[in-house]
Amino acid sequence: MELTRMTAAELSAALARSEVSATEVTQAHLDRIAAVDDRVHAFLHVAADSALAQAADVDKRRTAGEQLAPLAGVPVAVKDVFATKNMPTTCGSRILAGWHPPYDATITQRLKQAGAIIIGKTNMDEFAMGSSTENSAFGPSRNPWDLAKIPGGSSGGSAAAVAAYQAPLAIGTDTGGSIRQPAAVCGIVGTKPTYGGSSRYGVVAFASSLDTPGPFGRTVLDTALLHEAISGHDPMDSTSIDAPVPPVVAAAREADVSGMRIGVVSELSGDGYQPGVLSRFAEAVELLESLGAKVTEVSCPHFGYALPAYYLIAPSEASSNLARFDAMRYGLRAGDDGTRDAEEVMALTREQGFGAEVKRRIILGTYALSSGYYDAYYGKAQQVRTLIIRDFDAAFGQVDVLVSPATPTTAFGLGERTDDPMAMYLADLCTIPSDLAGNAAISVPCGLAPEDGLPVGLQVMAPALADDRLYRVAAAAEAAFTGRWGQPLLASAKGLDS
Amino acid sequence: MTISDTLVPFAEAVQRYEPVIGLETHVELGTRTKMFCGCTTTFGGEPNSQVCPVCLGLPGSLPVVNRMAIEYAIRIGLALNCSIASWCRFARKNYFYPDMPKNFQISQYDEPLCTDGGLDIIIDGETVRVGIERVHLEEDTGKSLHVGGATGRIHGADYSLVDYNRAGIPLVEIVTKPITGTGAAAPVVARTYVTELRDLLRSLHVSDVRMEEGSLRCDVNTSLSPRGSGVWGTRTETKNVNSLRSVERAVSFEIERQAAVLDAGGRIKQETRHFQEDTGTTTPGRSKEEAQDYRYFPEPDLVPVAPSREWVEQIRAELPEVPSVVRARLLVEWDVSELEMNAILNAHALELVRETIAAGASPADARKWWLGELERRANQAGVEPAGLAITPVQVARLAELVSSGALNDRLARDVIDGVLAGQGGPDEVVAARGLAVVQDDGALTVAVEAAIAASPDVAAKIRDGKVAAAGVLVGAVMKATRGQADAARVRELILARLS
Amino acid sequence: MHLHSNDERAGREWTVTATVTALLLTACRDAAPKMACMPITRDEVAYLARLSRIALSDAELDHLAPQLDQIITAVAQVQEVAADGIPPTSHAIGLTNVFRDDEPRPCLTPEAALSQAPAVEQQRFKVPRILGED
Repeated sequence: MELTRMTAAELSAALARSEVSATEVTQAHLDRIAAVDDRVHAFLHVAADSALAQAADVDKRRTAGEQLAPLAGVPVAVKDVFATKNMPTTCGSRILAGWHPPYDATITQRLKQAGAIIIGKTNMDEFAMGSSTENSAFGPSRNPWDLAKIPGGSSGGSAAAVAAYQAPLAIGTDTGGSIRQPAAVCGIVGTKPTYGGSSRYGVVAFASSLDTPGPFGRTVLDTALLHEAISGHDPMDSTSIDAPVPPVVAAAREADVSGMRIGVVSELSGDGYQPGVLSRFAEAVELLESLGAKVTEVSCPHFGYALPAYYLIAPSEASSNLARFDAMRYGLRAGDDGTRDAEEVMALTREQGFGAEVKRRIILGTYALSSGYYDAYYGKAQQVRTLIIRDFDAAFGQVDVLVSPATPTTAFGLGERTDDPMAMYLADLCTIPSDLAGNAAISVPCGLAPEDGLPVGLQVMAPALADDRLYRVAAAAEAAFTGRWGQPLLASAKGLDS
Repeated sequence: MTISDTLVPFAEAVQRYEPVIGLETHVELGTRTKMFCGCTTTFGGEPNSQVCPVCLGLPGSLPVVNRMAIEYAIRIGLALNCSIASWCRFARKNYFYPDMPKNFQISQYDEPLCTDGGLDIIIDGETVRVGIERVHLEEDTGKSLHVGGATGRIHGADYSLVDYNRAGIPLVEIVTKPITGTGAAAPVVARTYVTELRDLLRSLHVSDVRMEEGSLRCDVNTSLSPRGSGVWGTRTETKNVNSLRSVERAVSFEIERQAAVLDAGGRIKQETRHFQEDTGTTTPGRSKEEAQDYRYFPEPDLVPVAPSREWVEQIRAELPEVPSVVRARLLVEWDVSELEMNAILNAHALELVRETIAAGASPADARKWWLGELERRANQAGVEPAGLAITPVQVARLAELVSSGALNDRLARDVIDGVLAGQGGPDEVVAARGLAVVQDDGALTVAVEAAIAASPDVAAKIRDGKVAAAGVLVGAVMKATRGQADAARVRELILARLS
Repeated sequence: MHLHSNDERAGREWTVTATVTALLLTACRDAAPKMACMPITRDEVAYLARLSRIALSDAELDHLAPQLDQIITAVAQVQEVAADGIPPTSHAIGLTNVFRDDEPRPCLTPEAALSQAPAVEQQRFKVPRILGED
């Protein structure tokens, strides 16, 4: 089999048996990137030299008999929101074009320590604000299923890279759905871990109380392997949970849902959902039932307010987090010709350096926090957040996991929603509640929509710290579906030439 | 825009108006590391040599709270008789300025760590309780050099150079409740409060509290209420108040200035003003078109601070005695009068005297040196006695040398010269300069003989019984021995020789 | 307000209606101080841009104000929720008292700290002149 078609688990085993070297694996993926990325545009930076150097080091250590971590020698694509030392980190923005951080994010360090090969930095909506990568200052990425469609966002580049076989694994961040939605529309697996389960140190902040780094893979097991490698307590992140990583890999291998209580969220359905998405979702629920799960309908009455609450909380935190981009210490500096003072240079730089969506959200957030408006907007949204958490608590009192479609529609066309911010926001309808509550959630492929032949994602949601339940359910579904389809879903993707 | 303000003379101003003052004090904590990161806090490092992604506010960086800073802040709150919050949070104060790496400051807003306390101060023998509104923690900013303008001031500068070594240093902000009913004593009350607060903070070992170095910073709020009206006036905030004397002068000036504005039927502008050291006046700060909206919200990168009651009680148990309690105790221990104690306090020498006694000197000796020679020299140099380059341990040694007879007072003063000049401790200076009292009778006898021989007529008078004349010969011997003789012994030798 | 997506090849049509409509129509139900029933004006947007230090062009202001107005009207829906006595959540996880010891940690070298600066002088970040501040 071609190295780029192997799963991370298969590569890990082959590398461990020295059937193949890390250098060969890395080179194969670099070749694949060179072959297709002009069309997919998943990558903003391909780290060929450093990746091959990392691979050579892994090979040397393995030859020397060293015991290496499971992901040693396996390529991982990294969303450009993670600080990678001395490697470009742009966050998809002009304002950080050329920035080379002097430090590594904790997750970057953990990948390096595990011997994983950082093959490149992937495209994203600017500062993680968006659902399609169309807000990237460097052009959108394209969905490998259909190059005229969006790959989702904001971690669209990472999802596209994995779906296009450019890397078996990728990491992204999920704030309102930015891992699960791209995973769903690209037909791969993506997880938002429990908030605080993976370190945010070195992850350029969008919305601090929501941002959650997480894994992408083509299979549930691959995703679990990466989930485990990047998770765990970090003393550099005050919001990091000091508890053992849930046993996600074991759960992915067990893949047994018999006796599990599954709740279908009644509010995450109905008008506004593409019929083909709903039908595939319904089939997935039936499938889980046939595997031994007990399915009921559960109401989460405040979920309808999740979207407006999110679009108050996230921009508010973002407006503050992005204030540091002021041309003084790093990044773009515009208009410093000796005639302008510091404030003018700041304002001109931010005007030129930020895209439209970022400006929209900064101003929206500034509004929501401003004196006289705080209680009615930000304050109120935080109360709604409490109610959503209570909805989840009540639901998880009755069931072990909740399910819904991952996103209301399949991949929409590039350019289709760019003039209508609110329409774009709707892509996050199903994913946002978990972000507000800090729970764990996964999207796993459950078929192709009959209307357009594009992937549909099944979302599974679990209580905080119960990430393993996601993998148990997702792996069971994946096995059953793959049995039914006869092959992994991605094998039928026609956007790129095989 | 007036060039210079009209003023109403102070005595008149306080007759017709009731001053209300408030003080906001920022204290740099003496922790080893910064508030939210592990960079060191030592002063005076090379620019940008004590920075990391966190205090530089680099994209992706996150703060982590320094436990010791919380402890110091609780210590301060307890010493100021405050309630310590059982649960509180940090908040972001959002505004743009080049010395602020994140363009927000992590501070506390409506949930401060400590609230509702008080500090007693003594004014003219009366106890005045200054209410403390709140004590909270925040981080300091970087420092800018302004290049191109006159005298490095910000106005007219071409550009600025920013050093972030001080960004992230832990600060405690202490805010008083409005202080009313002080009348003409308002300036003195302000000054005394800051002095007492400074001494208290020093005794807690949470900061070196040096106003001249900026580890203790004061903003003074002043407003006037027309006497008997019951209506509070608009207050101004005066910054750049860098010494205790400036605190007093700033309040005084603002009272005079505001009285003149109100007398003329004008309104006090709510503004920030700057104290000018050289003229003792305040000037308006840059006027802003729009008022600052800091858009406070709870800091999402930090979790709440909930000090357990056990921890708070443990800190309380370890609190050193408050200065006022210490003073009352020492009054008895040192057997000094209130007057004498006040003299020590006015010379800002309490700790110094204490430490000198701890190092072995008697209370009388410690007081003698610190309130005498050393206070004189401090005034001459324009510093506090604590600012002199001599330590209590050294003073104790000096007192010991004098009481053992190895030095006399005159020589001791020479030794002090040497110590202050950086020539080492008393023993080293004595050895280096050969200042020991000549205690060798043999050497003294030689000098005595020489003096007698040089003044035969004086010697004759002494032989005749005019003992008083011995003083002249003593003087001659002292001069000959460059003051290093024990005058009493010399006198004995002369009288013995001429009897 | 409807959003149509015509899949002409499949000859099918479906609309995304209810959610967006609901968001917009129900927002102005109750009167409350500073509610977003009043559209956000161009002047307010200009003020917010100044507060955020973004030098928006006139064209951008013209474009942005109506978009923001629409969004604010929609997000104002949160005010419908009866939330008396409901505590706000600033953190989904219930952590408290996360501290570090007062122990020095390695810091950046000045070179590393300044390496990405737009301008450097005397080992400091060189910035354009700052107007007088307090």
